[in-house]
Amino acid sequence: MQYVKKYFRKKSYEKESLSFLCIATVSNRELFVRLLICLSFAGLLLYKYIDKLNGLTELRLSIPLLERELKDIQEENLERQYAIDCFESPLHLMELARKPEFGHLKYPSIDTIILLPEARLEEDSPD
Amino acid sequence: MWIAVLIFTLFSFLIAQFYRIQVLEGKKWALQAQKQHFFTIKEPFVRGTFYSNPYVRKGHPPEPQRFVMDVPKFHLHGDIESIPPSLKEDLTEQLANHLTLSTFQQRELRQQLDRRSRSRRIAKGLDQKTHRAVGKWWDAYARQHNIPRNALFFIKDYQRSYPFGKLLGQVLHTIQNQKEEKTDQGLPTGGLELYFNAYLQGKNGKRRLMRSPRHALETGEVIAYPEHGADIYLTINPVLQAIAEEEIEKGVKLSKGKAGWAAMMDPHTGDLLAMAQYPFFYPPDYPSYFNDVALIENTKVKAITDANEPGSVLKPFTIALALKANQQLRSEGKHPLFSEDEKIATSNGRFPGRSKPITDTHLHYYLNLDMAMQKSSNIYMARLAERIIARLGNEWYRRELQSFGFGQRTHLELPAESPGMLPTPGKLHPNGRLEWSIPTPFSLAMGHNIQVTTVQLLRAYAVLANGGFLVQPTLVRCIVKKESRGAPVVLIDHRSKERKKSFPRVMDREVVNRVVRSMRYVTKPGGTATRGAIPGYTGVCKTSTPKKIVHGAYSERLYCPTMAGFTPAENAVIVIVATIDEPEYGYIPGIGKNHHGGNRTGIVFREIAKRALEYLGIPPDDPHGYPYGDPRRDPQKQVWMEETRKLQELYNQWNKVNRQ
Repeated sequence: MQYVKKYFRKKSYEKESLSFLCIATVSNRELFVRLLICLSFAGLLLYKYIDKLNGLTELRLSIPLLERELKDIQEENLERQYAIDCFESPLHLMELARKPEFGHLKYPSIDTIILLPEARLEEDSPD
Repeated sequence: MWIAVLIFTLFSFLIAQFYRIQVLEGKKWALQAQKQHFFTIKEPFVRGTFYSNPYVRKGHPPEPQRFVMDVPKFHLHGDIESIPPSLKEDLTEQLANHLTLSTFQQRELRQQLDRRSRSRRIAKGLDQKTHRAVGKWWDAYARQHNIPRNALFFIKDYQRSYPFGKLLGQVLHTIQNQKEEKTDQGLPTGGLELYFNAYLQGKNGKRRLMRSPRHALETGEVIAYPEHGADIYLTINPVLQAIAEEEIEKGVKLSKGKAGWAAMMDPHTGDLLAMAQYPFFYPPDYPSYFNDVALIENTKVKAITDANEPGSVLKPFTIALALKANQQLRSEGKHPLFSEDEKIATSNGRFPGRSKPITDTHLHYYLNLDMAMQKSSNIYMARLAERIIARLGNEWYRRELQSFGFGQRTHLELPAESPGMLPTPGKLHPNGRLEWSIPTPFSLAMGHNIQVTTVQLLRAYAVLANGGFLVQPTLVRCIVKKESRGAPVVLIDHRSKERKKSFPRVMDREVVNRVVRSMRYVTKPGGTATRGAIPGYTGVCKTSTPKKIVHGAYSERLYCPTMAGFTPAENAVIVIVATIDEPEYGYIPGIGKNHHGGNRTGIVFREIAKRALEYLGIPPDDPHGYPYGDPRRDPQKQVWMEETRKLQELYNQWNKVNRQ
């Protein structure tokens, strides 16, 4: 009788472990999938983060170059402004005005100047 | 077990060290690391600049131009400790080639590279072109020899540059080539640069650079932005200034004079529109002027620093005082001092207290107010002064003269202004003599015994031009400073209507009109300054030919002629005073006396006024008032000619002149 009891107990144990194994196999697959998704998502985020960092580094590296370029342009502007001012010096302009080719030019009298308000000019503009 | 304890102890020690370095001594190590990896250089400020006044010309878009520009210059610095010693010889040679250095300079450069320094100036004041060329060469050189790129670096600086050249040189002045070591502030040499130094100065910023071969030069982070100097918007119009400079140069050269100056003012606002002086002063050449005693005179603004005896240009004020005395006496119910049409005897020039009689250039028997002004009679003016003193006293006379601003600084924004000299009763000269004696009022009446600057004279004539208001002369429209964010802040503003309203009235309109009426005869036939008549325009002026005082006595050959006046006669737009210092003494056929105020100085006045009015677009108000030979001339229709003819007839009648 004892042998019979043992036999049945063993059988039921095997049944339980079999079902447990089945369940474990299913949950491992799910876990794997979950892990895979998580890792993929983390990888994606990491990739995006590194990509963003790269972009920022690229921008950061371009700042000094742009700054230098801007400075060069500003200095060139200043030099040109100086050259324009030298040309537009009243002494130089008066020297030019004395030349025969500009002899016909005269300063306009106040009463011959018609001032148009800016608003009117905008209205008349073809654009 | 023992191994575990050992590991734990070591680990604890590590944590303790970590705590000490990061927390307890964190700041110290961070600072040291920064020092090793970074260094700071100055981020230069821009000194304030001077802008022109384009607003005087109506109907034109105003575009202020800069009288001074700060053009960038570069100083080459070296982080000497980053340069390998083996390369220093080669580097010196290469640099010397690029900077075109002499052998001596090359040797000096080599010595510089042997000094122990992390920021040593190797070359200064390089222009943009050299800066780029050196920068390009250095980039390649540093890469080739694996030297940190910022072992050589540039520091930007600004140099005062003058796009209009010598224009307004004496007024602007400049700053010295060498700046103050510690603060990097420019050291002004005089003029507006000195007067407004506090406003023009700025403050350097800071830029942090990393010592690394990967980091480019001049691309560090700005850790403190520079504070730029304030910009000053002047009242000077560059075209009017150029006109005045051209004409005064012509006048001085033609008269073979020592120097000359002319100033122009808006009589309603006190704005100085031009301040010309010849010989000129070109600010960047300042060392050559300051190292030569003969040239140093040319760096002064004589219109404000030099006070001279004005002579006859003061006569309109004698008449104004006499008219004012008339008004006062009438208001007190007393007899007036004189009548404008009164026939006053002018043949006898003897006055109490004077050993020598006062004389006129021509003998006149009788004159009235208009004739006296037209002929510039000394005796007539002295007679008026005699009556003023007799009725109202010396104090009244002095006080009223002072009300025109004589003997007081105008407080124009320039250094070293002379207050001039107006004698005071009871006060002693440094030599112990009384400033004011019995004959002083007679001398004052004809502009002697008084010292006046050109700007004081301008201001006094502005009283006649604007109907009786004593304006405050100024060279500044406004001063504007830009905040770090770029928003402008107005520090000083002279454009307001309130300022104009604050000018005190020192003379009645009625008196002004009468004085101006008498002055209109001066440039008409029979007057002393017919050459000062402005073609096509009406004008009011007075001329003087004062002798210069040399070693305490009047010189017989050295004169300082002046012409002062305004135009147009009604609604005056400009007041002008022109002076030529020591024109050649003598008579020139076709011109007259070269040293006479009505001749050479008169021409300077006329030309400046004519060209200025044309530039300002003022339409001619005397369309027939042109000189002989001009087809537009019509003596019948010329303004004020009818009155002049009547006055001439009366003069002839009184003085028995029989002209056919």
